[in-house]
Amino acid sequence: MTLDYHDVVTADLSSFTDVAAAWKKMGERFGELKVDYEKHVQSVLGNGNWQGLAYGAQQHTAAATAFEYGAAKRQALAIASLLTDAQTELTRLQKAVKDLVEDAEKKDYKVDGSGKATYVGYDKLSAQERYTLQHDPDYPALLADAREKAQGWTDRIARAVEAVDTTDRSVKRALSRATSDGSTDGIGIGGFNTAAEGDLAKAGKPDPEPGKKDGWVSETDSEASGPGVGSEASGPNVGKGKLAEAEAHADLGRAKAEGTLTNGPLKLAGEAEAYAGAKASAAAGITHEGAQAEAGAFAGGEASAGGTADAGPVGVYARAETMAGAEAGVNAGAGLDGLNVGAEAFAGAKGGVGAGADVGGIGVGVTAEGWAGPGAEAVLNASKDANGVWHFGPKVGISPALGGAVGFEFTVDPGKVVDTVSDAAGAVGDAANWVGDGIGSLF
Amino acid sequence: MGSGEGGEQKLASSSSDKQRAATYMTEHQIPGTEAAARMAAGGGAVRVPYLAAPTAPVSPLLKQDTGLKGLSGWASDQGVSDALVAWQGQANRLTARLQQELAGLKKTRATLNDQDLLAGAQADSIRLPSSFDGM
Repeated sequence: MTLDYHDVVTADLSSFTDVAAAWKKMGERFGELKVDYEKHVQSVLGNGNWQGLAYGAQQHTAAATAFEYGAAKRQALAIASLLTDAQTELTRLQKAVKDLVEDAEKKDYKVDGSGKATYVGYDKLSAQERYTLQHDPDYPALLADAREKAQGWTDRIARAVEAVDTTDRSVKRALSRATSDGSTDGIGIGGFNTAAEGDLAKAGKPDPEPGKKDGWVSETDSEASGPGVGSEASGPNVGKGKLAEAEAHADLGRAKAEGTLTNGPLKLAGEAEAYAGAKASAAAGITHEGAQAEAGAFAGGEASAGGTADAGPVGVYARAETMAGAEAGVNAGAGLDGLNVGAEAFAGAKGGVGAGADVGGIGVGVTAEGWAGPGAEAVLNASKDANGVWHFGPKVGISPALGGAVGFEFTVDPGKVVDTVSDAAGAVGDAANWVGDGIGSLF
Repeated sequence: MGSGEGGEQKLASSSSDKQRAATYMTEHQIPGTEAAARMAAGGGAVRVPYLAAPTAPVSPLLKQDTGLKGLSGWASDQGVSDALVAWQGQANRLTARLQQELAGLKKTRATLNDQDLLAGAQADSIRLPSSFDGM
């Protein structure tokens, strides 16, 4: 969510103090726990009485454990420091917004709840003065000037609000980086981050350009196809009770992309697929009570992206899918005389659809624009003649008005990928649920 | 491993050391780590007992109580929430590691004791030659 003027001027930033203090205290406590561990576990077992292979293995393990306590302290203190920096910086920028508003109001510009400035200097005039002003030949020019200056104040306030939002986002970015352990020290990837940076100015910087900085080498490969159309029809099959099916699809485009990033022992690989188009289907069945027909259509875009990260023998995998679009469905029942059902997708003009997925900085996006007329249609006509015989006439087709443009975007974002590596393993199960929930809600 | 009287003393001391370390881990190190891991929950407002029971893993989908008040729509708040989730995961890994170390200590103690008993039983079964042999 982007912060707006109201968010910024009404925010109380004082609670950052307590939260930063809590993280600092937690970091210091982990420092104490490290000392305790070294004194009461590591040293006790390492006093020379215990020797042999098992002892060697235990001491190796204990050294890594002690390291993690130290890393935990470093990470928590870095987060505390980031929160302190955040409070200082956000408070300064919030004050800048409020100062601007104060300056504007001193100059007779009223700033409303959305940050919009309006000149109200003329409101102070007496009725006589106002009358004189309104009959001044320069009055229109004066009004225009006031409007222009008011817009200037509005723009400056908006920029000041944007600065708060930018810093707010940089805090989130810095916190994410501080908690991500992408190194194999201690207990390996996913442990505490001993390299956590506590300086917001350094840690909150935007992500670098893909494949250009941080020693990452990027290799990508992508392919795209479309638009294309197709249709098929089958039936009737009275024996199975399913009389006829008709299906049509209009593929606006498909895209597939793969990419890898390597940096020393770390290798990240991602692949993404996207599809945009429309599908429509119709089916009918008959029972003794009459005929039952169903029709459904889906139009929109689907996209999925998956990524893997490997560092030596350790690997994690994440996958996510998203689906966006419109669905239309019709259920129709008819008597014994006949029925006619059909489904159409994209009846009328459509502005555009878009879908995208992003996993750990490896993402894909697809856009489709310029639809006009039905994208795909499937119609099934069924009727019973005078002799009581059913006739079925499935018809499928693609609208001649189909047309459009399709665009794909494949992104690999090294900074974000690094941030995500340690979290990816835990996200796999959740991603599966999201996919299930997302699809379930559509059908 | 030492031999003779010194070796036996070392064996006994080593077993005692392991017992001491295992007891400390059970009574202080592990519960202390679990409690410390939650010190930042709710911005420190959540009172965590020193000896706290382990908690279920936190869900990354649920927004955590960060302690930042009135900033629910701010990215900073989400960042702290994410940091709490990540922290809990990292702390859980550390605690699991401590549990493994503890289990390892208990296992080596048991193995040594078993070997000791076995060696003792074997020693008992050895009979020195006697002048009564063959009689």
